[in-house]
Amino acid sequence: MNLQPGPEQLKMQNVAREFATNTLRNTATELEKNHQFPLEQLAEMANLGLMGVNIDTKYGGSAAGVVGYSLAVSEIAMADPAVAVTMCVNNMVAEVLAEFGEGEQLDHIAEITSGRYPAGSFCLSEPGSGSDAASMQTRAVPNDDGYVLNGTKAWITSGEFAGVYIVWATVGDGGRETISAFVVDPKSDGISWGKPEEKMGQHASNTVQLSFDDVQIPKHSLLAEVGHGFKIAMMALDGGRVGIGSQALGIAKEAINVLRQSGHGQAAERLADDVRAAELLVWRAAWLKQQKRPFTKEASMAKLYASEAACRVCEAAISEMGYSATLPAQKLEKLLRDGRVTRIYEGTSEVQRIVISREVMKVSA
Amino acid sequence: MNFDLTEDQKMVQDMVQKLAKSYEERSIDTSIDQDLAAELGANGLLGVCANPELGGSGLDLLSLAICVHELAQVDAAAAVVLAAHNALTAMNANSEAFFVDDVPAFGPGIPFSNETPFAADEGDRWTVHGTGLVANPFGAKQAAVLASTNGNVGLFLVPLQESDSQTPMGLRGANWSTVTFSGVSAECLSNNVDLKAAQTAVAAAAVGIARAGLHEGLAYASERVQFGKPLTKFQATQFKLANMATEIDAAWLMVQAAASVAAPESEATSALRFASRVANATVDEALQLHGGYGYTAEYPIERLYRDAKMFLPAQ
Repeated sequence: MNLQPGPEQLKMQNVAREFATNTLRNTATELEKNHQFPLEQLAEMANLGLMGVNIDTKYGGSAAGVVGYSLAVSEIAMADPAVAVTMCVNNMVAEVLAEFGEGEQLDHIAEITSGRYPAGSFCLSEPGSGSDAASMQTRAVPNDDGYVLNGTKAWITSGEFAGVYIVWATVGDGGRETISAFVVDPKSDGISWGKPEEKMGQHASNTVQLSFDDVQIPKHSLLAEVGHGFKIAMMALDGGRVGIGSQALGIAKEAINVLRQSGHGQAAERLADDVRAAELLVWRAAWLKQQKRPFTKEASMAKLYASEAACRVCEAAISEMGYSATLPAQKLEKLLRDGRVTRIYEGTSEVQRIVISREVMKVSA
Repeated sequence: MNFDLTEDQKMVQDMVQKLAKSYEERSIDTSIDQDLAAELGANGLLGVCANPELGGSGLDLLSLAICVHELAQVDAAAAVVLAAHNALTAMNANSEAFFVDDVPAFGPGIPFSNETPFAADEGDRWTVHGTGLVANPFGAKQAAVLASTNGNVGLFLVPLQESDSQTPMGLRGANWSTVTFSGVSAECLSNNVDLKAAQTAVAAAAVGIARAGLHEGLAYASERVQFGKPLTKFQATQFKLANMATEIDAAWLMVQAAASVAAPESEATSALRFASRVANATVDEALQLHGGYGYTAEYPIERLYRDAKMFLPAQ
């Protein structure tokens, strides 16, 4: 047993840390204030290999593994959580394509890792279907040219800027068994988006609702097979939870740093226990995924614990520091606003508990 | 990075698991089984990390944590005594008498105290002063006492004279008494003890208690039917189980991390603090799942709840 990251993993962490320190720490406040999508920063990150950390070099990825990815996300999140979530979704879309794609679908990966696409989007949730993803209403009706997509997708990260969408829909009027994933060109006729959501935090990440209005997509848009969509989504979300857990971990670590730097070392020590626990849970999930072992339960534990700890630590830090900590001059209020959503997206804490308890009860049965 | 145990560590885990299971049915709230102690000794578990030249097993700290963690799931009192004996006495032992395998002794007794006694250097000898709660399950004639020595903490062998038998809230099998050391002459085993091993090992016991708590809570909730279905079918129950399992995993990871050679003592301190918190939260929820039955000695959770309280001072 060795719970320390290895040299290759630390290398990736350092790349991210350097960029976070030299660039993102200087731009985060301005991006936040202007609700500005960080096109320049994302392009630089792609150049550094941060948009395909766990992607094979043949697709332009860094092949630095899942632990390297997790470390990098945490570093980025310490400086700017909004950039971190965009990075997470880009990596996740690239990984889904690498895992399940074929033929031309694979061409999108290098577009993401190179930064030619500023982003990719993962289009699963709908206005009426969040945790209960299988109840989605978006339909893909087969015709001679492929499929016609109709429906609405909600909370789509980077939806306005993505070069590729992965869109989930049922085929025809079929139910859950027909849920399928499609690789969709955002420029297709019939796709439109609303104005970005006015979120509590993470203003520099773009979150929009997408409408699919008789969108004709070619036959080869289908990812894997009809009916494989739900499984693909669940597998992607397992990996996504490692990403968001890592993001939340970065937020928690930064809150501890703020406390230490402002002379509240004792409180920092006390709260650091939870952050260390979160770190070990996140690293374990990342390592298991990297070893290609089952990691569903562990990813949920990591995401649940790290996101809850991030908010707990931010709140305790604000209590400790008093009213000044609620002002933008201190970083804590932004960390908490940015961090609050980590308990919601990629599966709410309640969904994580459903996943974990299912696994825990399975063992005893 | 590697989260797997080594083959040796897995072997130790397997051995203690089997050994502990064979004692599961015995009474563990009043005394530690002498046969269990003898068997632990026969398997080299009274000197897990101790110098092989003195009869110790020479294994790493994680192996000790694994032993304690497994044993605590069956008998927390035995586990804590094993932890303290191994991490304090055996690691600082100067003769093989501390872990001869044919004597069922965990002794010397182990003190638990808020006010660390102090040891005075009298030139040709040490004297120990103060009071402490001593666990002495096998009637040892002397106690291994942690006492402060000018800024350090030392470990001293102190003869046990008068002691006042106590029944603390938990870990009762360890056979406790309060002892006053009024300047008795003591043998110094170490005048600067590294507490990392003890904190890590005791934290492992806390995690074991938590795991036992989850096990009991889940077992009961699976059988108990209310409103026409087992408690495990209620989401209120499921969410508790999920939180418990997550925190236990986190605590065990912290103990494992603290056990590594590279980890500083502060990591063990935080592992102990965290594990204690998790143990108490877990057994509390698990008792609640039992309803009124959890309040009775009929179910192990009643004992586990009390056992966990002995870790509260560590927070």
